[in-house]
Amino acid sequence: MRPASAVSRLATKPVSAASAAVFRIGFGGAGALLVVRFFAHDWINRLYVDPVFHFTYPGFGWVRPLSAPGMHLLFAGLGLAAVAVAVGFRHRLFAVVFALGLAYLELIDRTLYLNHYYWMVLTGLVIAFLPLSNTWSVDSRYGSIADRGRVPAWVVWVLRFQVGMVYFFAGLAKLNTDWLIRAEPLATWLPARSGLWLVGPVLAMPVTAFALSWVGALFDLTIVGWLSWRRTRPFAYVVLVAFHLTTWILFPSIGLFPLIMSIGALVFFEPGWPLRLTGARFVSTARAGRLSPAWVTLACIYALVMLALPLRHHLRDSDVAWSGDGYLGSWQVMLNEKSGSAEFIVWDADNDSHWWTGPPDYLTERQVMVMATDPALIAQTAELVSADNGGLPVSADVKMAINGRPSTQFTDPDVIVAGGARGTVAGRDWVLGAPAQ
Amino acid sequence: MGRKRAFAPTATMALVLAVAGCASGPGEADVVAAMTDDAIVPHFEQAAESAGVLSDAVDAFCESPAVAKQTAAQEAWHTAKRSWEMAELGALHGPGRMLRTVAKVDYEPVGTEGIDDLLASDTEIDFEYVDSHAASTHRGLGTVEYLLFRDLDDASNARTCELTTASAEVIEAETAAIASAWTDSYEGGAGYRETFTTAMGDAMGNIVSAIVETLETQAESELGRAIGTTVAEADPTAIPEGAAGAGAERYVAQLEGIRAQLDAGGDDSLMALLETRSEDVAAQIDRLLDQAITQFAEIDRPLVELAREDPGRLADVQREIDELETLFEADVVSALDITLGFSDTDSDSG
Repeated sequence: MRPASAVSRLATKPVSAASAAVFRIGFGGAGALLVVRFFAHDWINRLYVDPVFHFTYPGFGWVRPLSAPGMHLLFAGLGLAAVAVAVGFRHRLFAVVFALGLAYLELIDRTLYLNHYYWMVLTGLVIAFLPLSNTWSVDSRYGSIADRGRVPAWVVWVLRFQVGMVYFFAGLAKLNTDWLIRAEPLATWLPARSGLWLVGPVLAMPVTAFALSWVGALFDLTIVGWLSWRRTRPFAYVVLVAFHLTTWILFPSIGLFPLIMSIGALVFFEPGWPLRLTGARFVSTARAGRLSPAWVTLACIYALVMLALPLRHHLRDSDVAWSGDGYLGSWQVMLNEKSGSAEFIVWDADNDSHWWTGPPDYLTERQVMVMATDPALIAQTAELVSADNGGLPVSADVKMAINGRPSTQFTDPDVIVAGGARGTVAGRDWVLGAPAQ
Repeated sequence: MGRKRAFAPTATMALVLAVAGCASGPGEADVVAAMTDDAIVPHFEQAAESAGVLSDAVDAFCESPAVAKQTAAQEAWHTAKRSWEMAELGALHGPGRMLRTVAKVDYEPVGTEGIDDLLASDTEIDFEYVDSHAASTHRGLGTVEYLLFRDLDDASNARTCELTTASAEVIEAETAAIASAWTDSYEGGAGYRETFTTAMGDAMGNIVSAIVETLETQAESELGRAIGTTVAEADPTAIPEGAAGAGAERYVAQLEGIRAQLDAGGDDSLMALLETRSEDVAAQIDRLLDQAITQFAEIDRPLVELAREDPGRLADVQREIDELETLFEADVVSALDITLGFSDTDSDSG
């Protein structure tokens, strides 16, 4: 048998739809919880309605928030869509609705980018193509689903890829001097948790940061392997849950990420594992089908893009941690501690004068904090400052501290960023090099 | 056998705790508690006491006007102003925001024209009016300064005295109220101290946010504007300074307020904690604070005048305060892993 045929047979072999259904339920549940948290914390108003200005992505400057009632209705709609996905009611349609809605929310303000929101957008779009409602769903119970209780194996493979890539790239990103040799940013973050009951003093010890840095890198890089091997799978999953529980306790600001990954990683178990919990067994007399070349091509393109995107920063001569160039979509989760202090210099050549000014007052404190470490946002703020000063040229005087180092000059205060001679913006030659390792 | 089995985990636990005990630096809970008990609360109590002395001195002066009594009231004003400036940092978060203490005690700038109009009007001026109806620009320490630092006859005029007395009483009441909110009762519960000292991350974030806000106001909105480094045209009046010419004294008190919060608690101080996280940052803060305080203390004339005639002398100290702000905004925030801006949103960072 040719290898391609063997792969095709394996990929189309019918397997239990139960684990895929659990993934769907978990994804929809996490989506609904996301919406609940936005309502509970009043984030809809504070992040979307109240800010006067929103930082945009290149090419998406036209994306604007709705009115306050509109935003609240949108979130309510997203919550319903997430519930529909969870219960398996037209999950393909509502997964797309949820993913596009979340993408819209992400595109409104660049300072709101989060790795796990990005993952939920991608996953929402991916599962819209997958038959995840073949069991434990409204559609399988009342609808006209032909393959009740089973899915082709490739469906589970796709879900495993979707979860596995996050761990792999998060691990790969940790293979750097700061993480492994300087134990940063954990050496900064952990002592700040020294007030925690019992473990607090241990967290303050430098050796703890080193130990957890190495453990974290090893975990991320190898966990997919341990989960894929039947013998180690149960132990690996216990470790995974313990790991995510620990990160959630230590760093509650990472929100739903630990929950999403803990649920998502269940897809590495045998596809029929949920049935065992109910005492049932998966039996199928269906035969392996054929892979559609069009779908295979589409899946390969998606996989290649997903594998290439996180690595794109290696093609550039700047350090992604320092410059943020190539950060988006690279799964750099909990990897850097950055704080900046941004001022802008307005240059008035006609009067031979210049003066410093802070970020505009109408930016929120949160926006200012995120902006001061991201050149793309600094450039947008410089544009605002220039506009507020009659279009005069503006340069950025930003200092940034990264991973426990003293703050150093991040931008060149003598290079114009906005207004006047604007050619320099595209080249970002106003962003200075990273401090020595 | 049983004893041997029990020995290993017990010894391991003991070893972990022993090593943990050797971990250097104060805990954040200790730092916040020390700062609250040794700086924030005592500063409010001191401000309330000084405001009481000011109120008494103003009463005494208005009851039987005399140069000596006016001078005594003016001195009491200087003391009250210094006390408040040292305490103000603690009013930028917690009950101070809710009670709008800053707006009631020392709002800047003072609306002198409005005050003159008010004095010329038939409006009845008493505690109730100033407390509940007067604009922020028509009450507080700035208003008392405007009314008290003038000729004896003008200062002891009946209408002027009505506003001076009522303003001083409101200052006393508001400073006492914020002190009480921290120690006795706040929003129907225990004093805010209890909440503050148990909300570690938020407390540290609030403290550093208040310091950054204060330094930013000094460097950018006031000194920078006054000497023209943060605006197109210099405007010396951007420095809040009234008839008493106490601009430099105000900056000294504000910076000493920051210094007191950083050093409160000795070995449990924020400075001691910073030293364990970044000795270099702690040393820089120490040096810049000392330099700025010394330079302001050496100025023996009104700052507005100095900004007009010798802006270069203020440029150095403005730069130092700007550097201090950067240190807090970038290095301290990073070293303590805190979030400025009272944010509780999710993030990709610790």
